[in-house]
Order: sequence, then C-alpha cells, then structure tokens
Amino acid sequence: MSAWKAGRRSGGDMSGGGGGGSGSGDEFGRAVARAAVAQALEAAGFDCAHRSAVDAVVDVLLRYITHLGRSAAFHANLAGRALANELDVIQALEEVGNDTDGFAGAAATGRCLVGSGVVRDLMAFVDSKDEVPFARPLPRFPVQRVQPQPSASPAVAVAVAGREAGMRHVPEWLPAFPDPHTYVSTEVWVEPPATKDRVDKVEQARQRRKAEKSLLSLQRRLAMAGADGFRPAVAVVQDSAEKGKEIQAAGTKRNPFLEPALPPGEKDVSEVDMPPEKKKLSVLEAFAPVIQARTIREIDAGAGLDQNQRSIVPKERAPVHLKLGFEKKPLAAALNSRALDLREDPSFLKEEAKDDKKRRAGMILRASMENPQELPQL
Amino acid sequence: MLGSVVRKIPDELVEHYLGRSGFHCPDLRLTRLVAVATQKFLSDIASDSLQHCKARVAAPIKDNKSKQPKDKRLVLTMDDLSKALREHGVNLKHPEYFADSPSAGMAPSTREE
Repeated sequence: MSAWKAGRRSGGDMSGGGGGGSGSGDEFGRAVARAAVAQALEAAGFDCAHRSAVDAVVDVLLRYITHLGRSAAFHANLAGRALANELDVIQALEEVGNDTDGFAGAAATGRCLVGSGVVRDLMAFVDSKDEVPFARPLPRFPVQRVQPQPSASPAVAVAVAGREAGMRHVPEWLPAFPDPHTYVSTEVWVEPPATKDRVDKVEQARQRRKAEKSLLSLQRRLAMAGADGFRPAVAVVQDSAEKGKEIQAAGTKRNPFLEPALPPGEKDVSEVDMPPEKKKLSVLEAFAPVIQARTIREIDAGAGLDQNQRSIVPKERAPVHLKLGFEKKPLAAALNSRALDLREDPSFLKEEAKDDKKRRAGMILRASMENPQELPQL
Repeated sequence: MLGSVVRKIPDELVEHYLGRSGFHCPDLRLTRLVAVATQKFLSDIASDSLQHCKARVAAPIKDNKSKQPKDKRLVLTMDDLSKALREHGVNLKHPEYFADSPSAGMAPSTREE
C-alpha cells in the first residue's frame, strides 16, 4: 500500500530558498515539473504558495513517477518480460496506493486487473477532470530527449557510410568509429640502426670502464681495510693528503710506522717520516714481499724483533716492482697489509724499548725511500 | 479516455523520468496512463492541502481583519503540505528556521505531531 514512506526528511531539509538539495542535475525536468505543479495548484484553488512547498511537491511528484516506473519494470521483469505492460502499470499503481485508505476492491484477490479499483478511480478522476477548464496544456517539445546521443546526425552519416564501406555487420544505432588515426597502428619511423649500435657500443664501453674502475678501488679498499690498524689511506690512491690523515684519525690503532708524514722531531711517537704518497706506497711495497717471505719466521721469533725487521729492510727490496700508484694492484695491498700486521705487534708490546729501534728503522726506511724510485715503474 | 483529460503533466517529462527508472515502453498510452495517475496524485495532494489551509483559516476567528473573506490568500505552506502528504504516506518535516542548537526548531514540529 503505502510502500513509499519515502522518509522525506530530505524534503524537509530544503527550507528557505528554492530547495536545491534534492535536485541532482535534472534541473530542466524539475523546472518543467514545477510549472506543472504550479498550474495544478492554481487549478485546485490556491492563490499562492511557498516556494519551498512547491519544490517539495515537485520532488514528491518526481519520486512518484520514478517509483511507478520502477515497480512497473519490476513486475514486467518478474513476468519474464523486458517491456512493461499496462497491467504492470496497474499493478504498480495498486502497489503504490493512491491513498492510505486504499481503493475499492483492494482486498479481492484473483481478479482481473483491468477491472481493478485503481483503474476505476482513475477513470472517475478523468471524468471529473473534464470539468476543469482547459488550461494551458503547456505543450513541451521533447527537450529531455536531448541526451548526448552518440549516433547524432553528423555521426550517422559516418555510420551509414561505414555500412556501405563494408561494415554492414555493425548496426546503425551504434556510434560511429572514432578517427582512424586513433586506433590504426601506423609505422613508427625507426632510427637508423647504425648510429644506434655505435652509440650503444660507446655507452657500453664507458660503463665497463666505470665498473672496472670502481671494482678496482673497492678491492683495494677492502684489502686495506682487512688489516687491523692498517690505515687504508696508506695504500689507497689519495686525491689529497688530508684524506689519509683523516682516515687515520678515524681510530685505527696507532701504528708508529704508519703515522702520517710529520716533520721529524715533532712527535716522538712517530719515528718514521712518512714519505709522500708515492714513496710511501713504494716503501711498503718494498717490504711487503720480504715480510711475507719471512712471515712464519718472524712470528716464531716473537713479535717485536726489530732486528728481523731491520734485517729485512735492507735485504729484499729489490725484487719488488710493485707500485701502488693510481691504478692498482690489490695484491700489493694484501701483501702490505700482512706486513703491517707484523709491524703492529712489536709496536704495541714494547713501546719504550722500541723507540730507538724505531729510530734506527726509520733511518733505514728513509734510506730506502730513495731506492724504490729507481725501481722500474709498473 | 486518456485523450480527454487535460494533461498538465507533459508527456516528455513523464517519459524522461520513467526512462530513468528503467521503465521502457514504446506504447504512448502507457505513458499517458502514468501521466494521468501522477496528475491525479498531484490533484489529490493539492485538494487535501487546500482543505487543511481552509480549515486553518476558518478555525481561528479572531475578528474581521483579514479572515472575513475566508479565502483572501490561500497560501500553500509547508505545514499544510506536510499534513496532506502524511495521508499519502510521505513524511515531510520542514524545519521552520535553522538555529544553532539542534533542539531549537524541534518544539513546534513535535507539537504538530
């Protein structure tokens, strides 16, 4: 019956000016309905009306129409039909109910719908309506039909043309195809492959070089860092001397043999004047193979036998040709690290006793500094 | 029958809203049927609210100021409309004014119930 207790609080909310709350885009339909409602109100006897009240009536009316349509469609679908029948409409009318009082014959079941009370009420209404003077019927043009039809007239010609062009399988009511350039794949202009290959090769070569360089420096750094206390600055190619000092300050063990190049006498800790980068490296390299050769023997002799070191120092420098210069041999670095490990032990164990030994070693090292310069550079 | 009624509801309007709700029928008579039904509904609402309005006017007989003609200005107000719609199953509540507190405008409407 009153299956349509549309909770009209939303209608109640539209107060004051013109009730724009419920409208949602179909403004024209609302305007048309407003005119129809106003006409009906005037015909009923009202002199004027509140605008909000008129808008409320308009909203109710549109909802009524929509509800009728929906229930009629529902009944049609229920019966297995797509298109609605007049009987569906009558059923919908019965369902909606004109009044809470119902209509005559509502309780009777199993009756033909044609003779239903609703229809009779409607007919009575129609008959009664004839008494109303023929007011302006307001014939409207089908303005609502101006929905964006995809198959509008300009496109129809295209569709028709398409039909004749061979797309007869496409029904006419479908929209026309868009411009062919939007979906036809055309050939993309391909760059001449020659230049591309060249560029690729150059790029690859550059990347390979970069990779090699970084790998080399990484290996060197790893080897340097592997040895405790060995300042990686010693073996790593340094762009500036400060880098070496700074790495030293990072907290490596104080190896007197690895102190940065301080002026002689300034610090008694460091007895060895670190040679300039090249020399320093070469010196260590000079020692590296020697010390490696004597690794086991030195260890057995106990850390700190400076005599061994001293003996090592002058002996085996010659065969070393390595130069930890700017392109490098991680091998040399590894050897150096091992050598420095050995040197560490003595330095830590017997600090005071080694002072003058260190001085002597420093002198020898200094002497040996010049020699590696004569070595052939690798 | 359908042709004789004064159609105040244009067919196009009805067709538009029927189409929006899924009711598609190529038969014009069905559209007219729905239009007539809505017109009847509309006239029912109008007459009911008119009766309410007249009753409101006629009830308080204060003196012969403006109530004498008894139908000087029949204005459709939200109150009358709300009463008329209630009998058709539509609950319409219209706040008289908006105030800060939500309970400010509720007293008269509750009285109306």
